[in-house]
Amino acid sequence: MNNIKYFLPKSLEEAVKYLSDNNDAKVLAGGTDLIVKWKKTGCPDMHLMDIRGINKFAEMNDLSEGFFIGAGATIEQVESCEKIKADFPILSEAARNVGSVQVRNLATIGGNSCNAAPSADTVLPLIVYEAEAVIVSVSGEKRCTLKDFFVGPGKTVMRPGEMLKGFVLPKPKPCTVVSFAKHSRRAGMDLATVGVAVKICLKKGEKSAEEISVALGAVGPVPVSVKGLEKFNGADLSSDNVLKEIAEFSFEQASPITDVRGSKDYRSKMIVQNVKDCICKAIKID
Amino acid sequence: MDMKTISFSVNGKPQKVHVRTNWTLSSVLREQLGLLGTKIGCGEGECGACSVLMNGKTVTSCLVLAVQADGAEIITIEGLENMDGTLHPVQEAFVEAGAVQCGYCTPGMVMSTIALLEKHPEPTEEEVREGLTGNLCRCTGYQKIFEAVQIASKKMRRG
Repeated sequence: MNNIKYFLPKSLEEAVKYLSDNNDAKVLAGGTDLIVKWKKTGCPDMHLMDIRGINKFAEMNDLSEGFFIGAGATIEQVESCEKIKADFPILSEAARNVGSVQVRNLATIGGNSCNAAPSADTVLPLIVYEAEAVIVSVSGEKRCTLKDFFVGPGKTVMRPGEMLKGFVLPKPKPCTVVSFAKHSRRAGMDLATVGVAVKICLKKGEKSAEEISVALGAVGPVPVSVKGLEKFNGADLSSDNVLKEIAEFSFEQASPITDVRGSKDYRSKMIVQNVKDCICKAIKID
Repeated sequence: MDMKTISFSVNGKPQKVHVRTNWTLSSVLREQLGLLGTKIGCGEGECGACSVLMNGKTVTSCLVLAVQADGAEIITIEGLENMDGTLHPVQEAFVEAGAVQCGYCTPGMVMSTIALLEKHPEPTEEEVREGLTGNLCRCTGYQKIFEAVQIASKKMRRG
């Protein structure tokens, strides 16, 4: 019979110290990925540090530089937070698209990133909102923009002894419009076949952009933050040709594969279509 | 083999159980406490048959380690019955609508319906479908279950 070594720290400091002394320990937050993987691999021996008892990890509050969301905040807490609904609406929308009610009650926003699945729903809004991951260890805190947080499927920049404390999201500029799409086989309890988040800072009173951000999910080994979109700054977003150019430019940075959720060809078409749709939805063009 | 003693409330009764750290809440409820109403289906949080209320929120108890339930308040299907043995309005509604066929998903469906009606006392059809996304039924085709939710909503509002 296999064993789980289980540790429940009472404070952030105790958690960080334990992780430094026990590099084999995995951080257990919601468990909706970790426990499933553990079962699917035959319930091997595992060393867990459960952070759900530490309130500091679940905090959400205003900082001078933006809004802080603790890594241990559940997806349901993120979905229903009024501040997030008002200032970061597509993060709330993406949270509502994660799994089922039961999964959202357990799963955490930090776990959704640390699991480093390319299809993770909440990661795409966090990328376009320019979120920074706050990483803690016994050496102190450091920051990493979320677009640079993922290094491969299931892999992040975090080293042994480091853990995610939360995210800082700078407040979007007043002219910002956003939209999110999760293209999946069924409406609930499914992973994205293609995910798209779009953030556009519009020029006042116009349909042209000062700045465009696009993030793509489930179309490569890591979530994709599309680079080089500044070449479209000032372009007229109500033009079909411009939309097509942006969508195709975004698609070129994706590397979709064929899997159980969709073929490479289908995904490729859905990237282009969903980027176009998201921009139209964001700037309210039918 | 690591063991821990957990203290938690199950259906309003305090319980102290010695558990292995690799046991899930669903297996402790069924095998240690004999509460066989909570079903284990997929074991991966997909089917919702093992749904229970943990601190007032539905969770798939197959994904919760029993040690994580230390100090928690758990309600299972067995905890819904009234003191006089009569059924909870949601259970009554499932009976009235004929929302049960093989019955394996029913405890999970009932627990999710309770959470759903707590959030949306008068749910729209979309809210019902969304609220029950995490519960699979292979028999009914869902329609009778959705009808049961609406009947339960009326019963609960009538008090």
